[in-house]
Amino acid sequence: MSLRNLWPTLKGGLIVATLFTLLSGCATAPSDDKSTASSVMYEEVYDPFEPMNRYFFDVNYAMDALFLKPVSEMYRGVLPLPVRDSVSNFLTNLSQPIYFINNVLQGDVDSAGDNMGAFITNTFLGLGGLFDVAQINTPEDDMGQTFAIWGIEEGPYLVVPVFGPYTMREGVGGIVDWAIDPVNIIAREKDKTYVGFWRWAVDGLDKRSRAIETLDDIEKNSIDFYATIRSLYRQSRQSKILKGATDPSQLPSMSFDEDDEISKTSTTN
Amino acid sequence: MLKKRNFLVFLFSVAAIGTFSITPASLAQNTNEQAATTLIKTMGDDAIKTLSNKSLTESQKEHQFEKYLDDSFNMKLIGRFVLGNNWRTATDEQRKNFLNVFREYMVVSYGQKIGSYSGESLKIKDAKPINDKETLVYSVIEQPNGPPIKLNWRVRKSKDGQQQIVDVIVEGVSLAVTQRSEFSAVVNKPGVGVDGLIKKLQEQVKSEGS
Repeated sequence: MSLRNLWPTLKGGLIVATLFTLLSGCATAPSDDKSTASSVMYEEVYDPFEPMNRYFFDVNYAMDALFLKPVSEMYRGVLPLPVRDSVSNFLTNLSQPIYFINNVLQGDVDSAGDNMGAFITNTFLGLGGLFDVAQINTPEDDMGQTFAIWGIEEGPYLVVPVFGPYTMREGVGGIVDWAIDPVNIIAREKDKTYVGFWRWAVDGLDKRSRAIETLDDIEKNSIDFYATIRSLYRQSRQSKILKGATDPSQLPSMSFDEDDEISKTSTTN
Repeated sequence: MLKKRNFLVFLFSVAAIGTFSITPASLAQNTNEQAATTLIKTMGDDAIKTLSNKSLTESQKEHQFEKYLDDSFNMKLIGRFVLGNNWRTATDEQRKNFLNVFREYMVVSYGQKIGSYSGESLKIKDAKPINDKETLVYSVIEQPNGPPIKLNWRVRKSKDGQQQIVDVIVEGVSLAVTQRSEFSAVVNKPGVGVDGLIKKLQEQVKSEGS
């Protein structure tokens, strides 16, 4: 076997090894001197790269303002809602196989069944996925969520240029998803590697166009937009991992010992 | 003879006390959930009536929102939670100023938004206890142009028995947690502190109020 044949396998192996190294770094929780702080600041994100993250956040914000947001507004202005819904349906349908794989890996047979059912129904009865005939609210499970179910910790918060907010776990998950997505694999085999890129780009456009006012509002009200987005990102990931259920027992405590102090503190009207 | 009678009385009392002590706790849970649900339902119905009332001006709607805030929300507890760790080290003056500006901040941030809803309806789905004081009320906002929005309300019974909202959780994201995270990031910036946070909030109120 010549070295030429061996190289793809070696490259693959190298990538996998790197990913596992990165992930194992996430398997250990942040260092203990943060533990008292983190137990009080429940739900605070571990953000050791904050200065760098803030810088990339500003970079992404500028790129969004200059490019993504105007294009999204045009997209929304030009195409009627049913057309945009079809685009969204088509993209969601293309992702059902990878959602299916992830749900299987999580042991969530019911959700996996939903993914399979929706994919078959929408592809054959919904004109290749343009129409959501099945109308099942399928869980959109990615590898980041699978890693979470497997017990891997989040790792540090990362703001990636162009791609946006991630935690180490979600970032690695995204890479793995891209690599093992059946649709991408088939596209690569047919030498249509651009499929992966266009899926990502149009999906980004579609999602941005649906969040224009929401993000504007959040920004208008925030006194630290970076910190707000960081918190929102983490909470929405948590919510996805819990499949949208709010667990009452997981809510942070709002009971304080010195309840009397609050009543003593008077507010002037 | 007397011993037996006393013993019977004793037994009977224990049984009676036993019965009464088992039910009140669970009764209290159910009453809590019912009371919490009633609060959300009443406020929801009232809010929709106000919002769909075309004759009210924007500032009248905002005024109404302030009323909801003061009546149904425990602003002091929310403010204290949102200030997080920094409450402990804050002076009484700082705490008072913070609670004041925080309330104003909430009014200008969300009062406007309330006016922009139309045609939506609030449907209460469920209510589960969080602990002996708090209930989580699950509801959904159904929109004519879009998927339903999951909205959960954390309702807490105060010392005087009144049910008040202490958090709103939209699609899994808690308002209180988000604000605590944001405010603590601001306070922890070098040289800012609680006073800096209060100043920033005051500036925000001024710029949004205009």
